[in-house]
Amino acid sequence: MALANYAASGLGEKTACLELGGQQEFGRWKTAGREGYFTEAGIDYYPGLDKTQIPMLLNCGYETIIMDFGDDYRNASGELLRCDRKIILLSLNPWQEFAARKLVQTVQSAEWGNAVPVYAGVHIQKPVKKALEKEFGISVLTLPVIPDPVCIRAEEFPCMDLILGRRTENNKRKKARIPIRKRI
Amino acid sequence: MSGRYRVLSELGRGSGSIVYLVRHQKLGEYRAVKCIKKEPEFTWKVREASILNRLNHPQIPRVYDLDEDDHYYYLVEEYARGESLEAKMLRSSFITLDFIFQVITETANVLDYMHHLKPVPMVYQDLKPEHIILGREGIKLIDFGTACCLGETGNKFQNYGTPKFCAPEQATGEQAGIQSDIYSIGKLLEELVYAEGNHHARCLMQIAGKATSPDLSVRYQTAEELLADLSVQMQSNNHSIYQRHLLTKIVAAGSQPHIGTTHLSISLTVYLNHKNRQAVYREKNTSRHMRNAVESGIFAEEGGLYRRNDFLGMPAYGEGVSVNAPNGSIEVLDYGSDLAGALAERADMLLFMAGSREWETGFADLAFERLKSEKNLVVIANYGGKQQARRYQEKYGQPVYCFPLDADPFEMTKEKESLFDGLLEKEGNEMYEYRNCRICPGEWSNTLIRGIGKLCGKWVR
Repeated sequence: MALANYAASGLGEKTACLELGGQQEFGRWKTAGREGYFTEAGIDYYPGLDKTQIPMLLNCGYETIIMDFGDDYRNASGELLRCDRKIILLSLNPWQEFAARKLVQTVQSAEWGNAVPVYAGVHIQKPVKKALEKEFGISVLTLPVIPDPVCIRAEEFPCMDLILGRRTENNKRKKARIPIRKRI
Repeated sequence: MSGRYRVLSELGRGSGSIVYLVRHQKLGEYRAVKCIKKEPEFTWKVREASILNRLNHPQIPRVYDLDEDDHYYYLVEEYARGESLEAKMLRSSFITLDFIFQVITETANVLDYMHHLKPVPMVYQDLKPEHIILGREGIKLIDFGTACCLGETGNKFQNYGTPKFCAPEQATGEQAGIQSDIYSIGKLLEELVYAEGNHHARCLMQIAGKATSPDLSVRYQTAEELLADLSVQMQSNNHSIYQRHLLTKIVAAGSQPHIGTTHLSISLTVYLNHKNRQAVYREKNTSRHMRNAVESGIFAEEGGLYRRNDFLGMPAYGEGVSVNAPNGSIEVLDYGSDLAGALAERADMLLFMAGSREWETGFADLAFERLKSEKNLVVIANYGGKQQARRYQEKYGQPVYCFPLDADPFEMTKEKESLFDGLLEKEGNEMYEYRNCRICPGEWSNTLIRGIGKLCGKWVR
């Protein structure tokens, strides 16, 4: 939702957010109209969408489509591989580290076409992150805590840009130059 | 030292010392390093480190380190970002009254802090425009090489200063005290009043006169007294700083698309910032011009806002993000050709841009019909079409301003400056009385110096 809000409100793009993991969270939040979606803050939300409807939505003039597969990634490999940006959120708590490693192994396997997604996580401890990065040869992005995903603050813009691929690490936002003091 | 810091540029040099802008190799922080020659006549300057170490004030640079080699002492200080007041006075053709108030207030506050230091108060001794750096968070007072403790006598640290700004008692070799610093504030105020060129500033000359009195019993005893008088004077004359709320939101709308509303809004924002009035341009139309410009990389980012020289702008953000304009800034809202949106916005001033080509007048008339009931409506004809502006004036029965033919909205020109000066003076309440009247003695020489300064500035650019 944070990414969708940033794309729609921050970048001014026509954005859709699809719920594909069967979570039924959007549906509990608001009721969809006849067309199967509701609009909030410039984003078209599609609750409980079926995978077969994705091709149709790809031709609806959206500039950004955020597909939320939840934890149903095994059944969504086809769609995930077709996406321009594949974002995999990792939870690296000690009791979840095993699942995270398994997920990275799965994504890196030949069945997944050796896809190179963006790995990210919140509250990641540095040693755990470093160990995972070394083991799998990947880079894990540490996300800032976003208190309100429907109200993105300016300090969260650079991170959103990185995840959406609008800017790379090497091509960071231009910062104001230091005015050179003429005399002291 | 050379291993820890990378020298970026020279900031300035004085007798026996050179100041460099450096960057810490590991932390990436900018610092100012003062290199003082290890010669008997200059080594006393090293005491600046211990003086700065005693001081803890947001408007005084912090000292980080003191190092030495065979030839130099190296004093590492906080880098004060911004330009000096001296450079500002040379560069700007206008110094506004509230700018004078802010600079004097902040400077007097720093000196007052030094004068009340415990156990021993301190005297700065060398106040002048060159030593005041104008940054985003206010001023920074620099160069504490000649500062000393009150009552410190019999050594060479007393009775320094620049002849133009130092008190008569300093010049005659008497002991410098708190009132010597107050004399320097008075001289600084006097300089700023001359530079301001506005007849309202004359009232401040009375304060400057009292502060620079050679008679110590007449002169202000403390910086607090001077500040109190200054506040009373500003309030009693209803000066702009107390009327800032009068003009906080300006809306611009055009009679049709591609009529130059964005150009006008950007130019106005640049003008206001150029005049030390913090202003932010806000894109409130669907053109995405600002967003496209951001993506082209011509701006520097500042927390969701984008800067280019004097321009500060915000692209059209939706409700899903939260970016605010800085507190107290004037918002210039660009509604493009969305007249309904412009009308719905409760603005202090509504700028209506009308096309001056023959085929554009029809749209202008229709748009004017919709807007004419607005109290704060200001009509502007574009492309320097003076004849058409006159026709509009007769037809609409109200003054019509003429926006000059202009190539770069981000660059301030004489024509635009003169248009906005007149427009805001007449339509923007007393807040903008930027008349270029010259009444104080000695100001012509300042004008000449400022002119030369501006020319030099252009060559440098």
